Amino acid sequence: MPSHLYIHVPFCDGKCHYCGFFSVVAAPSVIELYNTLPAREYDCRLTRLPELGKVPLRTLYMGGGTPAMLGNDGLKRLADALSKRLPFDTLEEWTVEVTPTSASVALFATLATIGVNRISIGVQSFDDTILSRIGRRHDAQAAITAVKRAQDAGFVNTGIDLIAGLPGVTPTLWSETLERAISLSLTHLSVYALIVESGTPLARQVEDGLELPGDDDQLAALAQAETALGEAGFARYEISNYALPGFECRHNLAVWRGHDFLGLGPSAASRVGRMRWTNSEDLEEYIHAVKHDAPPPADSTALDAVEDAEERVIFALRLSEGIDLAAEASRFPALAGKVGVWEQRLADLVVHGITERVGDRWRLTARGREVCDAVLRELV
Amino acid sequence: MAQRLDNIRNFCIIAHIDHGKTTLSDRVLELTEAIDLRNLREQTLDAMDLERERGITIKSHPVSMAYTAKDGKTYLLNLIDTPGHVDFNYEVSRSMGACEGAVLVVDAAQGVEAQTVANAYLAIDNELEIVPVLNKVDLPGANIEDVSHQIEDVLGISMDRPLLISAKTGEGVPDVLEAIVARIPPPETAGVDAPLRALVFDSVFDEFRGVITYVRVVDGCIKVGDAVRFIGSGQTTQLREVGIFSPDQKPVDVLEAGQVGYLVGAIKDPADIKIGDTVTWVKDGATEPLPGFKEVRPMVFSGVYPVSSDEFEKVRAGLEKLHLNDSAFTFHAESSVALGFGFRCGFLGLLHMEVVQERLRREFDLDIINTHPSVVYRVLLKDGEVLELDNPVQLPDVTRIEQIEEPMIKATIICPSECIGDIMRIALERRGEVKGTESLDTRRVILTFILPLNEILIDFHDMLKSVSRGYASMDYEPYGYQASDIVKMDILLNGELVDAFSILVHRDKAVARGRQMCKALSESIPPHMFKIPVQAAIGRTIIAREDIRAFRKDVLAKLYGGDVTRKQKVLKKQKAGKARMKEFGQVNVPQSAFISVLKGSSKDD
Repeated sequence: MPSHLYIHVPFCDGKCHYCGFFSVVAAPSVIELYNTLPAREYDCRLTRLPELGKVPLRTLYMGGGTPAMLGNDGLKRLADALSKRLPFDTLEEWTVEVTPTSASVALFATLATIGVNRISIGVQSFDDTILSRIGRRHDAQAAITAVKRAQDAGFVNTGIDLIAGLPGVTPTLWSETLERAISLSLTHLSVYALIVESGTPLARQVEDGLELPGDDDQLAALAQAETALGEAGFARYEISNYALPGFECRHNLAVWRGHDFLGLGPSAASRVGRMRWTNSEDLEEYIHAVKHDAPPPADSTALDAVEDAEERVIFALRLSEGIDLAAEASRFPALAGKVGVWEQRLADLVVHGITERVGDRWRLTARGREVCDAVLRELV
Repeated sequence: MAQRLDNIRNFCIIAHIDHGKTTLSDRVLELTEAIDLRNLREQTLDAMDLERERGITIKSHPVSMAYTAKDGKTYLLNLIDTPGHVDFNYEVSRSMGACEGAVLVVDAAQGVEAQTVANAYLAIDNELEIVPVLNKVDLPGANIEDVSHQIEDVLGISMDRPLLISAKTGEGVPDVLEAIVARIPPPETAGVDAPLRALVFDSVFDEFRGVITYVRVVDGCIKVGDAVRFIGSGQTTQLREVGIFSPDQKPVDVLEAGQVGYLVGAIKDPADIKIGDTVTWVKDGATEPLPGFKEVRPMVFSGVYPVSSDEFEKVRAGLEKLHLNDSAFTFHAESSVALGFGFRCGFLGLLHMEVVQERLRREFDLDIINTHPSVVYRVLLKDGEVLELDNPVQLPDVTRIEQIEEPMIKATIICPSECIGDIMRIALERRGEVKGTESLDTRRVILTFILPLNEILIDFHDMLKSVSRGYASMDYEPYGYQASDIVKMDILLNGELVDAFSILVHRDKAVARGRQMCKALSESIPPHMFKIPVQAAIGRTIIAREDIRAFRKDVLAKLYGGDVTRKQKVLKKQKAGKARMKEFGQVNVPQSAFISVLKGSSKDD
């Protein structure tokens, strides 16, 4: 079994204006049909990649979409189907994404029963005007209630997502948002700079003249978050993620550190050995294939040893822990010819205040985090 | 004893650019039915696309026509087409060496222009009979009287028998043919039976047949199968084909004295053919060569480098192939610290440089970078040695240098009188010295300047056109060397010297030029993740600086499982885009930056 498993639940009760993830508003009958299919997709994958079954499952992440759309019974059935294939006894972290609209007391009770131990709530903002403007179907109070219910159900490890740089958010309003978040006894916060994903309603609004905050304002908002959250004990352990010590998301850490992961469900991506693939977003095709015990259509690529290693190493620059190039070179012999060049490239950027070397590790400075992709481009 | 070949006329057509030389050639060809009307496309003689596009002739194409004149006799007319631009004077003079007369075409609306003067003088120097023709007389702006006066006053050519034509409509063109027959003297020869002497005035390369030599037979005759010798080079070859131009190559059995035609032997390398050489028989040949043409020497040099270093061989192949058809440019391999391996190319002038570089791009699909053009400096060293320097990078240490001399030109500029002030200013700014001002007519003047060649390399021509709203025309000729306070100016990107940007410049001009180059580079190099100082320096002294500001941000907010795949692909793609740039130290420099520094002064200077 894979050490790190992601399950995509592609259903929502509506679409938020900025969201570029694959989700649909589906009839209950379709959701019913979907239910345990990810478990059956696992069977298909295992037949073709037997090595998947050789390591114990350590993290499980259910996202979407809105996993709660499966309903309490549906969630139980899916958990049951999975646990039959992948024993949960080695599981260290099981995260479920929750939206304030679906955060009922019963939902959290169900999640606690099936073994979930980490909750991630999509909050985005604590301002009602902003929330409705970006197409969220809840108010600030619902978000606060959702957090409280999760904590009341025993989920110590509860985190939320916020978006920085939303149009109309002043530094004062942003500061209030951060203060509110800090007051909720959370263990984890993701703070994303707003991305305009193509094809979203937000992208159309921007085309129609909606003005977004400039780079300076957006970076200022991120810096403001880093300061406020830092003072409250949250460490920025990844470009957009903050956690109290020991509460970093293990599943995502595994991805950033370049470990294998298996993604189930339409649009889910996987990385196993030299293979990477992304399932098609076509829900109908997915259901049809998996129902007939065939792997769903996917866009897949076999990487050569260098590409494979490269991809697994460089994205760790997003982490505050950075990269130990010598260690990576021994982890991936294929990188023998690369690490010297990388070492040089990263060293060249020190004088510009973009990279720094701390002990054996290379990491980005505060300025480096603002131009992370440009640094990565130097390495690929 | 010399005899006259009464039924032959060898002539060329000369004109300022756009005055209608090529159109007239086409009409002449039509009238003599030298070409099938159905195949006539505009500007038949200009075969290269680039020529047609720019309306200039680069390579000359001879053509032979039969013409029955009003006197009832049939004449063989050999038209040797000539390029119009100053850079190609060598071709003009080649062509003229094979002619007895020249048809001088002058636009009746534009009047005498700089190249009219230059070409007419060249024809006079070659002792050609000049037949002046006023073209475009049907245009509303035509001013026959004034232009006739200009031709008489400035060129000293009689307009007693004016030929007024419209090459476009064909009006008056038959009279031109009659004038050619009547006024241009027939060629003289020692006879068809005399030992062969044929003048080589051009050569082209054909992939299948090797080198094709264009000749005018002066004495004797040439037959297929003849063993011939080039008196100057000593090359010998057996002729597999001889032929005439009608206007395409057409094989014939024999070429006789007075005829213009081509020879195909077994010569594979065009470098073996010297323009101006004399062809004779190996056996019982002539001993005395015909007077040769002057050696052509490149005046402007520039580095040509592949954008990606693995295309070096491709560039070499392109240059070699191009050289087969244009032996006037020179090239040899060189290397630059910044650009890697490339070639130093020598050109006859600026247009020639542009044309060669453009042909490399178009015909060979090459991605090339051209470095700043340079002239040939003469460097006198303290130990008495003299260096000829065509690349700033080769300049020896200043402590070893006694003196640097730079090439000068004599420029003839014809412009509307009201532009005199502006043009004087431009010329003086460029260290020019006024040699003469002369009225051409009531509206126009002829200005003569002595200027350093390196001052007109970049944008002089554009400036002239801009202050005169396009009315000024210019021609130039070499005017020796002059001692000058020349210094080497380097450009540093992010503190690192980029040798490809180094130039030699007059000390008084260095600061202004340095500022200009820094500005141009800072505008064409895209922002990086860090601030990049762009500096100009003489030795260790920084004389100008611009900074390229860093971009503010470049980071994806969300990166999870599926995004890694996408992001990796995007990064690779962006990286591929970057590969088209040259990296100096940590700075990626796009090709456009190399072009931008050649643009000269930016608008707000």
